[in-house]
Amino acid sequence: MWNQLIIFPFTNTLLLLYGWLGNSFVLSLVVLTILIRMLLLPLTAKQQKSQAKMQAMQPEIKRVQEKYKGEPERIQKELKKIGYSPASMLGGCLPMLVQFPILIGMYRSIERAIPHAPLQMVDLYQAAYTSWFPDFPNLIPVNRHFLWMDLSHPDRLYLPFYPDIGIPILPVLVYLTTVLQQKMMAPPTADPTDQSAQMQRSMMTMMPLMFAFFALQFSSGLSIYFITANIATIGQYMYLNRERLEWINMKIPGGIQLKIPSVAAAPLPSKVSPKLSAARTPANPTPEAKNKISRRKEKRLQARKAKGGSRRR
Amino acid sequence: MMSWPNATLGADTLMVSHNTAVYALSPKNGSLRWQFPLDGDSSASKLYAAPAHLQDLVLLGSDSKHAFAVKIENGQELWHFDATGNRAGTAPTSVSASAQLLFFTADNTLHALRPSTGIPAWTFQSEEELWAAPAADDKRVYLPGMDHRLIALDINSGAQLWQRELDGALADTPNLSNGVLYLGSLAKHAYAIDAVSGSMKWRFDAAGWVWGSPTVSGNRAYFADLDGNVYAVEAETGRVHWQSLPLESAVRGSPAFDNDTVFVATDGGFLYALDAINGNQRWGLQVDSNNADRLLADPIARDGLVYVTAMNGEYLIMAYHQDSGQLAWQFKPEG
Repeated sequence: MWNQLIIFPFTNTLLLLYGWLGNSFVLSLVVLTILIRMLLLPLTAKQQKSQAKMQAMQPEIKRVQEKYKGEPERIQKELKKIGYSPASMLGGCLPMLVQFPILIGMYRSIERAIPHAPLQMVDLYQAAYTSWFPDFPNLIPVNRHFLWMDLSHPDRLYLPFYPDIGIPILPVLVYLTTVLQQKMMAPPTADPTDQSAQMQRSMMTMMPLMFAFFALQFSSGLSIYFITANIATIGQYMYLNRERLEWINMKIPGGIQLKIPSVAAAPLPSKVSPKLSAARTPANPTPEAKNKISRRKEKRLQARKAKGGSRRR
Repeated sequence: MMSWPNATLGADTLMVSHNTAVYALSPKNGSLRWQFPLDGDSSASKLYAAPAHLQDLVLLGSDSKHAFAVKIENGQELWHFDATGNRAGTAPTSVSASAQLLFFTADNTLHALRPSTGIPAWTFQSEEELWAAPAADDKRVYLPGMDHRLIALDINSGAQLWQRELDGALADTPNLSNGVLYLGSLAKHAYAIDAVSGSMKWRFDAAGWVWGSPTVSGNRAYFADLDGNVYAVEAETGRVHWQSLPLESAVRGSPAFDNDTVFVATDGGFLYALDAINGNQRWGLQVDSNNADRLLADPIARDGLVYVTAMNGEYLIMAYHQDSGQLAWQFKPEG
């Protein structure tokens, strides 16, 4: 059942793409990962939009918290008014759940599609839809080498002048892209001290480490899948939120600062209380904010002029 | 990396290689004579290659890229050869023997080793990985490659004499009989190639991949495919004598032949005895070891018994009576 539903279709698609893409298994993996992401687009787009919405509300959430300090019930009420809904984030977990069987399926399919031992070759023969491959024997052996990598084995780069220790390049990239993706898409928390916020923080620490551990232990083909999926997710997130994208600084382990894209704060919904609305206008807006506001005003004026004058006339 | 256990039958010793150890057994009753290594030497792990023997010496191949020569009488190590310097690949290793040299393949390299010292007489580098050890006579070495090429080398110098490109990857040692090389390929074909010139005598189109090399007895060649079909063809011409009804699962190994009976083992855990004259089934049984399946190694038939190794299940190797299919003995390693 598991074989028929996931592993065999993935294995055969990998082989088919391998044949089409000039016998490059790395390209085949990248294209299949992107295809899977496209199939999951209806699910992930909803999740990402919901995450971006929550992220854009962060300044408002902070403002509400400051405004009603010591009034937890009022905070909840006001947060509800501006549309903050942690429950909607739960709907965003579905794509994560769907991705786990895909992850396991990918791992097993990569093992099958690039047999590095006789047993796996027998398994490949049994998995192959031979009618898809009129020239199947010419695909065998599948080239599992790319640059320094053997895609069927955990990634280690051995330098000629230091051959005893292998450098895990791909696991490091898996870690970095996972951290980047999580930092970009991290939903805001109403109260940093509450349990869900703590859980979120520990997830954000654990997940990249867990994926990096997988990448260290399992075939480097799986690392290629992780990296491509992370980059595709980041790209998709940036595209979906392109109008509100801004670049912020992010610190990564080692004291390195990176500029990463993030979603800018959204305008307040109309439902917000007048008290809060008044409080929202910053007494001393930042120069960037001032510029943004004046640019928007200018655009509006230009549009009116183009239409032949102001609406009042 | 995992593989199936492989067995080799010497003059009076049955050797089974399985991951961390090679067990030498009595072929008559399965009693353990020795095992190698005794001390859990880490370089001797992944001992999947079928052992090769030359007189009183046995060559063992480890997928950690070491070859070990041990005494056949007690398993004492004589020398070992380390090929770990060649870190580029991760292919399975294999071993074989001729009257003059021992052969060890690791990744893309064939090492021809001197039996007395283990020092290479020469090496040969292939373009692709080598999954099977070569066959050899007193003049030439015949090396099958995953790059679809069968290459003949001079046994004294390792110089290439001829090469023949075939339709699929070559993953088993060819069977050399009367100056003809019989082999299958991962391309639904079995071939007979002239050993001197490399010219093709015949090519047989099978239903599935023919992984195991044909076994030749008299004027017939017997082989099987991964779709579970067994074939008997004229060794000289490739003309088909009979083809069995497809068995319940894949046959990976070469059939064994003895007493006018062809024995084949299947991926699904069955052992069959077929009449060599017409292919009729004499008996078929599911091996007795608990949940045993993946009988992917070549079965061995001699002196009224047929031996089969199982990858899964309680026992590593089982011996059955050729005439009745009754279990004679079975062996499982301690621990």
